[in-house]
Amino acid sequence: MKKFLKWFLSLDRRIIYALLAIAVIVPILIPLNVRVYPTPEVTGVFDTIENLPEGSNIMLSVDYDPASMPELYPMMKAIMQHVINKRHKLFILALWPLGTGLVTQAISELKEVPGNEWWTEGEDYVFLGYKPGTTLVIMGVGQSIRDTFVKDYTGKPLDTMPIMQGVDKLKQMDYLVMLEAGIAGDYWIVYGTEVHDVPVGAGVTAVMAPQYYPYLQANQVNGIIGGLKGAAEYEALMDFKGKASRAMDAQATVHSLVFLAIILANVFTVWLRALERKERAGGVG
Amino acid sequence: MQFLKKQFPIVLAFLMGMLMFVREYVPTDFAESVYNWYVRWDIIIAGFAGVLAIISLVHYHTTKVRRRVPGYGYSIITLAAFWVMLVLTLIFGLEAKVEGGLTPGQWLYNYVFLPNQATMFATLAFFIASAAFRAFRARTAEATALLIAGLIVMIGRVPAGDEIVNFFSRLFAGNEVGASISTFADWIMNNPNMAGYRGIILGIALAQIALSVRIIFGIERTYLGGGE
Repeated sequence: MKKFLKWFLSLDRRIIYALLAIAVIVPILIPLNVRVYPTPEVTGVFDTIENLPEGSNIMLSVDYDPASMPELYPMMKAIMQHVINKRHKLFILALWPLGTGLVTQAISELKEVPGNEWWTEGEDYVFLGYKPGTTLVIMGVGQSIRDTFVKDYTGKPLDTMPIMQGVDKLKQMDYLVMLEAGIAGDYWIVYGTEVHDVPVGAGVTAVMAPQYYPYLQANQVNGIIGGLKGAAEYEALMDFKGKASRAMDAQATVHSLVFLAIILANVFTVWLRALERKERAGGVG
Repeated sequence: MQFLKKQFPIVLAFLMGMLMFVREYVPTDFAESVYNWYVRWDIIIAGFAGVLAIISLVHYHTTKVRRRVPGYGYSIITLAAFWVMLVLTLIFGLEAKVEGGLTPGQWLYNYVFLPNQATMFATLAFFIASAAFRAFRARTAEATALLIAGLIVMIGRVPAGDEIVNFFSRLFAGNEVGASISTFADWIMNNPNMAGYRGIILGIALAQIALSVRIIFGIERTYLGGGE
């Protein structure tokens, strides 16, 4: 027994890697269709967009890059589709330079979705692109979106766009959703939404979600979409099964595997120690 | 020259810092226009910082290749990727980004950069799993508390936790209890976690204030570079 416990506790990492790979691949091939229960944090963001009157101004800040794509991209697409469904105006900007490619990709994909044909650039949405400076850009859009960006991502002057008529400041936004893989979210709260009194929801990677709870309790954000599960919850609220919902199967099995491995490792450690203690006691006796 | 390197930046930091500080307490149009002017200037300066970063990157890797420093092959790849992306974007422009087809730069982003970075990040899962298995042990009372909270959050942040509880609830009680583990995980996030993070945030804020005061009054000079 002792030999087995020792073998297990010093398990070759390649075995762990192989088990993990199986835990990811099998649910993709054979869907488990695990159910997702929306939490109040995610419902906070969903309800705000849902209950705003048609044609409200929503700003989407894309502050992540492809490294966080598996978690935040399905979230971004779900939110954008929700905004389209509710016929709100969408103002997108990126505080991370590599976020721009993800936005254009999402826009292209959403335009292909049946029912979204009417969604027009410059009328229903504008992609402002990326500007360096993070806090300065946030402070800038607080003062004037036109002065800060001048042109949209494709080089069209903002002044000529119907969506920009009568809109120029952050405080004219009815809601801001920030998608965060770094510190820009804190800056949005400090320099943007608190100063200009704009309600804000946060879509963040799972590892970042814990640090947004103080903001939630202080009502500085009215909802948190945390990681892939948050995205799946948002999809569930929208009543459609997207990438996040499908990925939940794999994430559930992987978390279960790691959960089981940690528990077994701890139980076996205690067991081994007890055996060794018993042996020592027997030896002394 | 010494004045431009040492005294002038400190004077400038003091004047601009005090200007922005005082402005907060002067609610006039003039104060507002000063703020707008400051923000525009800052955005332009941040743009120059980007140019500086590019120059630094090219210089660093070119030097490595020229001196044949071990691992210089990676520098060749970095430089090649940089120039290919830059040249293609300059030649084919930034048109047709959203409507129509992909530009070569976009194609490289979508089909080379994006899968590469996603793959790099995805491999972390393997290391995390292996490290968690080996290091996450209940050796002390504090470690045990951390372990229990961590396990509940880990299983509560995916639907598996609720499904397992519902399975046993169906088996023994004949009905489901819904989102039980995830609700408990949310409680952990909303209470002990939130209290801890609030302390960290307050600490950071106080440190930022202290650092700002040190910079404005010229006590903190490390941003000037070059040591003492």
